[in-house]
Amino acid sequence: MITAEEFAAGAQMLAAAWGRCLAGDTQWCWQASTHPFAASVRTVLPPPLPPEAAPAAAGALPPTDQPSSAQRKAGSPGPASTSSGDVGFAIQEEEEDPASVAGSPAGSSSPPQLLTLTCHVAYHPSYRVPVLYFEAVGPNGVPLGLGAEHPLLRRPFYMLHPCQTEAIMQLLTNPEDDSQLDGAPAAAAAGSREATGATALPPQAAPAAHGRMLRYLLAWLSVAGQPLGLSPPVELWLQASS
Amino acid sequence: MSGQPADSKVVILFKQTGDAPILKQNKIDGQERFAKLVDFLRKKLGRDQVFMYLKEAFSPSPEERIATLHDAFAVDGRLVVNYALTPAWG
Repeated sequence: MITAEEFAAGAQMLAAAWGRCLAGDTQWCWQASTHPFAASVRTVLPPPLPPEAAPAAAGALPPTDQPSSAQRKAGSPGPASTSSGDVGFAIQEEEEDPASVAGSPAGSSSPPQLLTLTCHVAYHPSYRVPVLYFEAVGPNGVPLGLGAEHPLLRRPFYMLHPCQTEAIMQLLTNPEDDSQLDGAPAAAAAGSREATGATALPPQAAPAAHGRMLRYLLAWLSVAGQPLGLSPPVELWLQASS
Repeated sequence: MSGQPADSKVVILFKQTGDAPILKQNKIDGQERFAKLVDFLRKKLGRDQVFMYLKEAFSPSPEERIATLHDAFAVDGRLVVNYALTPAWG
C-alpha cells in the first residue's frame, strides 16, 4: 500500500525518469486532479491522424511541460477539474497494429492501422495502490473493444482491477533472504476488498523514500503494463536503482 | 552490452515463491527473449499463468533479451528468476 502523497511523488519521478531515459515515443504526463478515483476515467482523445502519419508518435495530455515534436499528436485539454489532490497521469501511445482486430476494414493496399493506446495511471484511494486505465482507439477515433469492435458509451476505459495489485506488490517488494533492496516497505495486508488502515512505512530519509516510490511504481508498471506492451525498460530500472 | 558470442548461454536459476514447485537451474541462449523463459515455465508447471519477476523487484518485459537481464542482475554468474503461481490479472 502506498499513500496518495507517495503515489504523487513516485509518479512524477517516473514521468521525469522515463522522459530522461526514453526520449520521443511514449511519454508520461503528470496531471494533478481533485476528482475522486472515478474521474481518471474521463479523458479527451486527440484528433485522429491520417493513416499515413508516422507510427509510434505519442502525445501527452495536456501539454504541461512536455516537449513537443513534429511527430506528436496535439494534446487535448484534460479533465476539467485540475487542482492538487487526487492524482493521475496519462500516456498516449500510437502503435502500428497491422493485425488490429478492428478499425475500418482496410483494403490490402492501405497502410497498417494505427491504434492509439491511451493509458492513465491513477491512485485508488480505497485500495491504496495504483490502477491502470487504458483505452484503444482506432485511426478514425472509434474505440476498440477488446476482441470486438463496438461503440462504447462515453468511452469508458478498461481498468486493471486493483485487488490483485496488493498481492503482486507484496511479492515484488517483500525482501528476500539476500535482498539488496534497502528500505523495502513492510509487507502490507493481503488484497482485501475493504480498505484497511495504512501500514506505516519504516522511517526513511526523504530521498531514499522517494527512490523507493519510484522503484515501487516501476515495479507496479512492469506488471500492469505488460499486457499492453508498456513495460518500463531495464535501463530505467537500473537508473532508478543506482 | 558486452560482446558475447551469438550463441552464448546464460544460467538461469528459477526460484519458487510460496507454493510453486521447485525447479533446477537451466541454461538458455542469452539472445532469447524473456518470453521464452515464461513459456518454458508455463509448460514445465502446466499452468497458463505464471508470474515471473526478478528479486530486484520488477517483472521484465517479455521482449527483454535475457542476456541484458543477466548482465545487469546475475549473481555468481546466475540470473535468479522468481516465479509464483499467483494470477497476475484476470
